[in-house]
Amino acid sequence: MVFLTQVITAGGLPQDVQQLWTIKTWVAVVAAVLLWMSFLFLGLAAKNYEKVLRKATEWQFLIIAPSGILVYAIIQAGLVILAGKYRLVGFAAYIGYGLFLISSIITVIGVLRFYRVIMGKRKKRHGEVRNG
Amino acid sequence: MVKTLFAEYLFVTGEIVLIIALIVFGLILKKLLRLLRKPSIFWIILLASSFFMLLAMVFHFISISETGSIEDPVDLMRNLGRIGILEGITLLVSAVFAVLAGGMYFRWSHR
Repeated sequence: MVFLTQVITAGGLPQDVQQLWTIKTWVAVVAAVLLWMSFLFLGLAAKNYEKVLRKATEWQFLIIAPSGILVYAIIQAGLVILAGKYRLVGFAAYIGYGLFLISSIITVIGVLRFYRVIMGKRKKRHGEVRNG
Repeated sequence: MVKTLFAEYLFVTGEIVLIIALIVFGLILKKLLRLLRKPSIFWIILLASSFFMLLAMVFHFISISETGSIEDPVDLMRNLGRIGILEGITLLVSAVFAVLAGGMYFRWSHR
């Protein structure tokens, strides 16, 4: 199926097939942006939690961690607009999907850290304000 | 095989990791909603989100392992496009649920 890469990147597909791929790509881009936003909300919620309960949540980590998902969406959207590519291929695929994976791993680490904080399973760090 | 098959597997692995992140996000929300004295049932939205992410992952997996008819690449592209639409819709539903749950909690915690 080496030809598939060429078909995806080259034009000349029937109109209906092009429409299918265009819709699919843009829906995936919107979904990636919304996913990034949802984890951003979690980071902001962690910030509020830290402010109110005076427990270190490392909310900055939670806000930065999902950035790779946003970069993936930008790369995908950029390739559709600038090069007419419906799917990440070649070097762009390794960059886009690689960043998506790295970001997912960092995000799950951040989310697990916050979970340990709210469950009271995390050791208090030096200088941290004790709660009640 | 598609030349970038390995890269596609990176994406599938990323989706699996995000499913775990969404489930833990749900557990966090369950606890935080209790603190705010709001119905903690809303954490189910994030469970639903992780379920739809799982579906999206399955559709993506099907689309990268699809062999189809080599004699008719256009037909193959049409089929892959249809699977891609299903993948996109399930991914979008998952994302909408996640952003709804996250946004709702953020709004409540700000009051």
